[in-house]
Amino acid sequence: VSAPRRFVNLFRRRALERELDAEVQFHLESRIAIAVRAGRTRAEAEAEARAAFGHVGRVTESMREIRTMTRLESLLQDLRYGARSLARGRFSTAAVAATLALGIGANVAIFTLLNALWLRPLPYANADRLVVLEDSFTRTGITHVTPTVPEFLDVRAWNRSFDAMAFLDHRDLLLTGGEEPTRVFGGRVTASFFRVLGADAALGRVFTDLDNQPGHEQVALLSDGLWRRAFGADPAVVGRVIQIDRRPHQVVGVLPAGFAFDHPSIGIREPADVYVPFLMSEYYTSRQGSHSHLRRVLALARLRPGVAIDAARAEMQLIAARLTQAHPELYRNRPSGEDMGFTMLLRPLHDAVAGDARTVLFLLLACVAMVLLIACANTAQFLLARALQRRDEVAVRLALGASRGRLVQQFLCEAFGLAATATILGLAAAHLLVRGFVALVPTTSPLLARAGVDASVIGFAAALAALCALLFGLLPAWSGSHATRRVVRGRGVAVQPHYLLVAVEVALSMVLLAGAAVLVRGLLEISLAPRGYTAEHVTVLQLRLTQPRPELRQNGALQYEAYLEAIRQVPGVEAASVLSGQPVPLTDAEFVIGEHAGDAAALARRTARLIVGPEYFRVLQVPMLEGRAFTLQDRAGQPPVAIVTADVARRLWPNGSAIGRQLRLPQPTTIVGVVGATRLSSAQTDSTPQVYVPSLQVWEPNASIWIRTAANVTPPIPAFKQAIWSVAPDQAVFNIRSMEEMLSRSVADPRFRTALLAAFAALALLMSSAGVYGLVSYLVSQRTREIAIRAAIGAQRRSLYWLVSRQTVVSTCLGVAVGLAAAVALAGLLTRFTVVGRLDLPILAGIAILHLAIALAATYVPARRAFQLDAMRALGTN
Amino acid sequence: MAKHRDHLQGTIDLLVLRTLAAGGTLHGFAISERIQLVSRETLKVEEGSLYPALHRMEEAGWIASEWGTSDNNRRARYYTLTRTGRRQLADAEAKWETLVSGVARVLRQA
Repeated sequence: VSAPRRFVNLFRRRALERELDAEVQFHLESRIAIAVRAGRTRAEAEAEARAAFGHVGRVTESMREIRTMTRLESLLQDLRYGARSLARGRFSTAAVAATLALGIGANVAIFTLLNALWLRPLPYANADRLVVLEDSFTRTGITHVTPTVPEFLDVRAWNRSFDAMAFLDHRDLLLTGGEEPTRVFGGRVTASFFRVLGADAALGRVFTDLDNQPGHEQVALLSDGLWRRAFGADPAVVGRVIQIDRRPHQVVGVLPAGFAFDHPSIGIREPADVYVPFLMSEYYTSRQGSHSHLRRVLALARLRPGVAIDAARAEMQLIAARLTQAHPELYRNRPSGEDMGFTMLLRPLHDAVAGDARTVLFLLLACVAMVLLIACANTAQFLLARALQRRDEVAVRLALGASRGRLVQQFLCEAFGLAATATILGLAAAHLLVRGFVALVPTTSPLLARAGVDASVIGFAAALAALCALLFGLLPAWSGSHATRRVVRGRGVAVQPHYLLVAVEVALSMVLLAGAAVLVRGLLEISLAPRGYTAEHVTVLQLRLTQPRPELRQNGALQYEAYLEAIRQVPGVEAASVLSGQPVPLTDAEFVIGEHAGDAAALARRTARLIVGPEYFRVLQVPMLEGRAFTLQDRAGQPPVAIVTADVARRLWPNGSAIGRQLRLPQPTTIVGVVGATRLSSAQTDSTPQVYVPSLQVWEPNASIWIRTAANVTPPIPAFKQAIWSVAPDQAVFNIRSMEEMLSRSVADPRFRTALLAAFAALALLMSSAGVYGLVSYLVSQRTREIAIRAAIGAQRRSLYWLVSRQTVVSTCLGVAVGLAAAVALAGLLTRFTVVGRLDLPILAGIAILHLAIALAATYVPARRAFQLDAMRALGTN
Repeated sequence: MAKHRDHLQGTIDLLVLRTLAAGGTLHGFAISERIQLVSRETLKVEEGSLYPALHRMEEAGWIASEWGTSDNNRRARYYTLTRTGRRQLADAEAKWETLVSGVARVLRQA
């Protein structure tokens, strides 16, 4: 009942004070009046009354305590006091608060990203029941391959685990009818795709199962983006007929703006502009079709409510075993009959979508946590130094009877105030950092786009603030109120906590710097490793070739040749070639080489097959080591030929020439040339073993054109486009860029991660250096008198310097040692960040020396200042 | 130390409640005088220690206070027993009786 009154009393302290005084005064006056009536003098009576009453101050104090929320009141006092005293040391407080804010901000930012990516559910209906179906060939080391259409159909027919299944397949599509032929990114899906994800159309309808059947498939769904970009957000677009891949498609609907399924980690690198139904024709659905067992599609399934994923996994294994039995020719190596260990796996969609990015974010979180720990250690040092500076004041208060708890509370209040301020600043910093990250990260995702401050982010920030305050508040609080007792008893100052903090800071910064150094080194190694070709003055254009023009329909490859011929007429062009598929990275193009003489298993299985034109090796200036390049005579109808890189030749035929040998691709193919090894993927230092086949014999609808221009010519891009349009006016040409730009983009992800980690490491180094500097400055200021006296009686500079720096050097060495051990212990984690980088002696030695050098430099400046002090002044000031 | 104070506090509480139950509305000085009179000065406590006890009991809701004017025309704070206070008094008296009779029994048998 009385709590509110006690709370109110906090704010009417004067009135309360008057009431209490009045009551006590009344008592004393009454007693005095009686004594005076009994004949005492006024003075005697007063003395007696007071003696009988006891200590008036103590009585009113204890009444006040009863009448107010004392704890809260003292807390308010301490907060006021803390704010005032922090505000006094304005500059240093601001510096400490800023580093703390930066540390907290970085942590909150990474948490915000992690929250968006991983903690919040995927933005699809029943997201926790969605899984990805994958093939795995355990004996060959090939895992996480998407299944084929016939496999999908069998699983759908046989399973009891799922209540819905869908698949999708992405490719470039040609959109004509606008100003110029445009390439759009399209998804070919089963109608169930939208049902599985719980997505509905914003306008019109989504697909029905009938749309997947032959004769009904010429319909399309537009993304919100394409609808706005190409159709001016016209609501009447539903029902209109548009030309996709030169065939009429009726627009049946527009998807909502929020719908996105472009997850790079499952192979969908950009948002789909348009969806069309996957045509369920015999060609794709039966195992007889020429590509039906090679065409792999991304398969999604939704677990039935109550079915555990492990139960579903067990069922998938049974289905895979049944498939292996039913189709031994597909799931066993021919002709050896060797078991490929085929099985089918399930991964939760959220795992598949967030997987790698999640690992990276967790590692980044660990890094920024270390930065924050350093900031906390610095703050602790700052507060500790202040606590020790105030020891006279504290000693007096202890002597006057202030309780130890009250002093600790006061120190903690200061810490919490500082943490709260830093957290508010940190939230603002985190907002900017998240915006920057999302804008700059090379491989983005719709999950990251939704990153923002929500309740869990605020909760994380608050918890972090409290944790930090305890971390950097308890030590000074304990040590501050402890040291005072020693001072009271006439002993020295406890400085051990300072040294410990410096050692911790140095160790943390060592670990971060080691990590950053490994990554930077990895990137350097990649960029310095020989590529095997010349990327300068090469321009790359991508094409989407659909149905070849009628007169060229006999062989689509001839159409590429026609384009190349037109491009060769452009002034400045030295050579031009076609290359099929996505040139970088090549993982998508990897395929299994069949059996042949001298099977060198591991190498052969991960060989890339590239379809190239006759001038390809001239365009990239790849040296021809043996045999010949392709010619215009290597065309359809002629014996199949291939060219291999030197590493393939060496591994398969270590003794003797590869020329004239046969490969099964899968049809028997004769090797006519050997070229130098090339490293097309920039994410690794090793070259990829490659087999080249001529573009005039093997044809694929997605291709890029590679053009070498003379060194003194700026690539005339409009002329290239015109040349192609002079052959086919409705050919979409896109992604035009220089090869150097393309290569640089292919390392954008590791570069971005490295830059982030390097920035954190630099921050850590800066903070730990500031910590060392602050410690020495403080120690020197504590011992000014001693130094001055020693200098006055003739101590050597060097011995004085050693006097103030010894402890710092010792604790830095301790930190370096611990840091080295930790870096070595944690080195394994770094392999998640980089393929090439590794921790070695030069890196470790380098960062150890760097830290020691910084510690010595940080010691030197304040120490020098102390030596230059005039002895009399130093003695006089204290 | 703390135990001892609790015991003393309990005693003061009991005396104050008893006094108010008998005397109705009284100010602090009057309560103090009556306790001393009734206890015939066997309880030697500082008069001041009464006041924190009064304020604590008011916070506990056993007594209520209001400002009034005393016989000699001065402002004084007057306390009265509340209903909760009356129950508390009965409780405390019962406990006190039990304690006293228990102690008496022990003393007789010893």
